[in-house]
Amino acid sequence: MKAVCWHGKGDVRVDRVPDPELVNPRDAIIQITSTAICGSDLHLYDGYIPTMKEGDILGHEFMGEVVEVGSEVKNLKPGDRVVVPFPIACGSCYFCKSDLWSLCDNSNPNAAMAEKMWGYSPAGLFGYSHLVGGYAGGQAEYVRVPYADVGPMKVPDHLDDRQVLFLTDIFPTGYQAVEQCGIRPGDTVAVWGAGPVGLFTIASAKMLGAGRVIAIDDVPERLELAVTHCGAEPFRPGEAGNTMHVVEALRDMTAGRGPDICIDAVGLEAHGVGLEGWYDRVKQTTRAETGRGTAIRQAILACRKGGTVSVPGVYGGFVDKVPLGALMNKGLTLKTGQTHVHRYLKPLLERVEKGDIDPSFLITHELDLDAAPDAYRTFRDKKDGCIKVVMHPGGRMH
Amino acid sequence: MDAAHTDRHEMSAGHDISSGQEQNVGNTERMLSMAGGGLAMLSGLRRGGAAGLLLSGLGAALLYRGASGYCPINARIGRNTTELGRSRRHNEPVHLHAGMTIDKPAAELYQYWLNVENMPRVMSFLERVESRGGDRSHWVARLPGGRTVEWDSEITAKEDNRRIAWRSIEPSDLSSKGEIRFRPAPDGRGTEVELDMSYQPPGGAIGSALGHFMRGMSRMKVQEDLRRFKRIMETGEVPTNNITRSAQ
Ligand SMILES: NC(=O)c1ccc[n+]([C@@H]2O[C@H](COP(=O)([O-])OP(=O)(O)OC[C@H]3O[C@@H](n4cnc5c(N)ncnc54)[C@H](O)[C@@H]3O)[C@@H](O)[C@H]2O)c1
Ligand SMILES: [Zn+2]
Ligand SMILES: [Zn+2]
Repeated sequence: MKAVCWHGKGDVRVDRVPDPELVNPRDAIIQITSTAICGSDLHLYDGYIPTMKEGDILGHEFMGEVVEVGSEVKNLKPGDRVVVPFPIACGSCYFCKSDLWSLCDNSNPNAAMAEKMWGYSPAGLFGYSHLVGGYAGGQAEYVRVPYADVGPMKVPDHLDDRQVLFLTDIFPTGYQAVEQCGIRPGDTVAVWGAGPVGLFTIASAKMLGAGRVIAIDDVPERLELAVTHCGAEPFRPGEAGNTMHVVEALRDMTAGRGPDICIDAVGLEAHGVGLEGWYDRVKQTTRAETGRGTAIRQAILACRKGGTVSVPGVYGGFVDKVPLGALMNKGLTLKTGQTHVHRYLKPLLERVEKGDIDPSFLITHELDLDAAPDAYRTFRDKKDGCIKVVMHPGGRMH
Repeated sequence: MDAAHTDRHEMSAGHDISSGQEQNVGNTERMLSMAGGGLAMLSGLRRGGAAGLLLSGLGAALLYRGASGYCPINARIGRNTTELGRSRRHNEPVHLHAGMTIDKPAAELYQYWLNVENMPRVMSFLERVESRGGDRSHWVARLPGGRTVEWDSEITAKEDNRRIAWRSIEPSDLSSKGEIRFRPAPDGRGTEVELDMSYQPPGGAIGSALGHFMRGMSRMKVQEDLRRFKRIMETGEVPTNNITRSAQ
């Protein structure tokens, strides 16, 4: 089959690889109809996540049609149309039973490796480095889905791929980023990053009763969509956007209180300016730190006393100069995590069916799988107004 | 340049469990590595310029070595400063311990473990185990290079749903002892399982295939065996990232 494979920093190619097979009894094979590129994939593309190997198949936001199921998979049959959560979860460990699916104890075959890095291992993820399992991803014609009796959810025929694809990751990710803050009506929410995750975060904040949402980003078309489609107030830090400037601007926008909830939807490739930006670039390049911390630093400093900082943005290793003093002395709460997608599949599908939201609003590019190498570049460089890329292997789509 | 380069290589290369990277830096040395790494990194950055960058890269390499307990240089020169490495050099018995919480009742775990023929599914190095009636069994382990070691074993203690102990019977290629204990985890969160194994390398085994096998035994291997046990019990299968059956 054809698959999008990682070959090193800035180098993805569409390769011919063996078709996947059923390996374990709880597996299913899915023929992919739609598969997206995520901001998380850019961290791999730019070489910031360790333990990638040449030839690894990328992709964790995908859906399609079941073609084959293992002997233990009773809930699916060939022909079913499903969306697949990006974390792989067994459904029967302590964490899965506690609704903490992205922390599954059993799905990472390389758990010992993750334990060396993080103490304990989270769930395996599709197409996201060997540290979290080395699973082949879904930017391909077919994918092997482990624990298929637990993860995939059937979707109704009257909704097309565009409307349900993002249930696999970015819609639940934005939703969890807000929900885990215990948001109360009237809260002011500030969101760093108006990329796909940021946009779903903003839309979810509105859905969950936020009074105001402030979107922080420098890319005009993304901010524009945050305003026109999601009801945010825009803030463009611009070239002068050093941390104190951003914190002060947010204080002014909230009559001296600060946002109740601050959400980092940027992650480890945050842009920084001036001395801070230079410092992080040098340290990240020499691997003396593994992430650039501008967004998380600003979120902590800008947050009101007793507020909550939520971090859907991905970090891999160490980040310097995180203002722990501000976190502690202002009595902040910190909420983080890869998304427990399984938890949100049904409730968010209901919202789509009811028409609360049409998740397709941010798609700017629909392409064949063959276009992946160009699409990665366009998405990374934010060229051509690119906000979200969806690929349809073989041009099939529902 | 060199140190920074090594570090980058270490951070980006895949470390699959199967490649068997294990701890070869002792705990005291790990703490020192981490402290020294942090300092070198800081002073490297403070100094700036090319020399500063080099120093901060070296610092990061030391930090990684401290955090992971693995040093590529130790590995290359065959140096091992862990407890285990020390006892192997002196032909002393090797004691290995691991613990795992398994979300199943103790009775179920106890029954599975009591059936020795289940063991090759749990312990990666075993080829097969045959029950010889009563509490006796015959074990066959794969050695690197396709050779095998065999030994007979007997169960020396069975306490219902709480403990099983076993040891090898003389004469035998390998002298080993083990025990597994089960106790309920707090608040109905399954069962706490602890596994203890000890191996006595035979005299003069260093350098032989058996000596090699013994050196491959590590706390990490025991822990991975116990993890496989947990996964079989909790999910009915062992997770794999293979996309084809033949890749296994
Ligand atoms: N927690 C999860 O489960 C989960 C799931 C999906 C994605 N993510 C992560 O969420 C993050 C965002 O994903 P995405 O798809 O939206 O990525 P993206 O790269 O498309 O968007 C990131 C946005 O942040 C903006 N940005 C960069 N630096 C900034 C700064 N200092 N201040 C404000 N804005 C800044 C960029 O201009 C860009 O628009 C990534 O780190 C991704 O890995 C996490
Ligand atoms: Zn994603
Ligand atoms: Zn689980």
